[in-house]
Amino acid sequence: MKEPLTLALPKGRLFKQVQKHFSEKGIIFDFEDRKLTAYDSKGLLKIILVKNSDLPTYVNYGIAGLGICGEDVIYETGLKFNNLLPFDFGGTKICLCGKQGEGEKKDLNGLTIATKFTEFTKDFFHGEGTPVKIIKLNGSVELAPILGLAPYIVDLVETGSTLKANNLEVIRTLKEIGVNLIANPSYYKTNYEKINELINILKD
Amino acid sequence: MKEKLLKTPQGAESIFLEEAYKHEKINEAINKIYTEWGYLPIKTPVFDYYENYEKLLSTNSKKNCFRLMDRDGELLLLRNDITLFLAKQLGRMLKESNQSFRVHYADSILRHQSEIDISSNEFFQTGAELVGCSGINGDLEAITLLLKIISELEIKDTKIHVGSRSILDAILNKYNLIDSSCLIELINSRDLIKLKSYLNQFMDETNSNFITKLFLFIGTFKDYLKFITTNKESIENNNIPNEIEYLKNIGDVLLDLDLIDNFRFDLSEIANRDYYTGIVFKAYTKDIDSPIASGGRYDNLIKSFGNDIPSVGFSILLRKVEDRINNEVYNPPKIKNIYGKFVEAYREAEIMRNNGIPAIIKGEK
Repeated sequence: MKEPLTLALPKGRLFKQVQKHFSEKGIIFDFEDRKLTAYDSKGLLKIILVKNSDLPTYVNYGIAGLGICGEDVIYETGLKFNNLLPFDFGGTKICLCGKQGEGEKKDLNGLTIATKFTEFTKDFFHGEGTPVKIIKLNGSVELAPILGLAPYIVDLVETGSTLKANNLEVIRTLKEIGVNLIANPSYYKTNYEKINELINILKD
Repeated sequence: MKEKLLKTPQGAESIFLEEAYKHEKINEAINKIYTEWGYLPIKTPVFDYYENYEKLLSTNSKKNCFRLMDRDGELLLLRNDITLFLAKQLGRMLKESNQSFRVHYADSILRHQSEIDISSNEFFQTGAELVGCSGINGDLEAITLLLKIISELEIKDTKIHVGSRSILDAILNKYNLIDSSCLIELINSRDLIKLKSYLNQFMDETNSNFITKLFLFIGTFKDYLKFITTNKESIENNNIPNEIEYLKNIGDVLLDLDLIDNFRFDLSEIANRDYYTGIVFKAYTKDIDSPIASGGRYDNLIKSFGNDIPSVGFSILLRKVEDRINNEVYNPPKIKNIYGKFVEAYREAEIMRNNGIPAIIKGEK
């Protein structure tokens, strides 16, 4: 049997979607209770399950040669990978949000924004020429405008229901976020034949 | 105080004992090969004026380098890439353009490494430069010398990927509205869809398909020959037959030398820096997270320091591969302990040492 490729998958919302997409292409895998590594039915892949935000680190170190990850996560790390294949699932939007009806009001200091996505937010608004003051949060970002930590947040918005429940709304969409099959560039170079085969299987 | 004692600044490392021994031995083995190929050593300064190098540094190197100020307030750059520091010196050494010479170097480099990237092991560079020699023979010498080192050290599962900057330059020349850094970034990301749609702005779809295929091509020499035959017309239309033929000529020689299996033809190797002009190559080892060696022809490098002198060379980031080198000859020999009164023990130890066995005088048991 050929040596399998290593693929890191993120725990959480993307995982089920990846599993479903792969099984439609005949690559079936499952994780035994609490186990974090698994092999697929065809012996093509060794799959490791990692925290979403750690995924780029594993791929950067080559511990996993391949990964499936949202562009938002990659952007924050500033690391460069190969973007081998975009998927049509898992897409989302990164948006500027604030209290309902208040709109986007800049003062002399620009915007004060609470977010997990500090790099993206800084680059985006600086790119526009707007100064920003950023407060880094790790979760439940919606609380920030409600409790008065910051009037605005930048966050991923899928259905918008959490926003609505907290009397917040999307002020504008900053970027569409896709999910890609990424590779450590050196891993691709040393395994390009096998990886190209995998891409052919996964392509729609 | 205790915290500072335990902590090492990012980008610094120390090597100890057996590991340091191995590092030195491997380095000696490499130096021996350089000498056999007629290369002489060269030493570069640890720091130099920053402004000499500023325009040659990539955005990334600018972030990672260490700068300091001298007593006159001049900004200095700590040696973050030996090739760059060397180029300035070579420009001064070589006044007449018809001379050529061969130099090699081995030294530490100083770069900041972020916490996320600490495994990259970019602390030490060893490399060679063939200066003042243009054309295919120089290129062949550089890649075969690199291969010689890789094989001699028995770094398994390693392939040298050979590409070309001149193909990229020819395409940029033909489509002069293309932004080179944008194209390079798209090629490096291997994003087929984005690359194709970017190119579509400048050419028809048939040609953007071809150029996408061109810059993402990796294959054996056989695959490369097939690629040329299949795409003959597109190669002509894009004014790159000479550049494509040049790599084929390199392949023909490597085939004759029976070395071709160690190479991949990889047109995505385009070099990130503008001073590269011809072939570009990188060595990749299975399960090492970044290239272990890189090089190419950089005829514009020494020129940026004043003298127009062609040059080809490579550098190896040796620390990345040291733990892959398993040959016993690089490990420290067993040391014999000798007990007893110092006088007798000394005599006995000397006999051992003269026979090549390291000995330690331990004193009386």
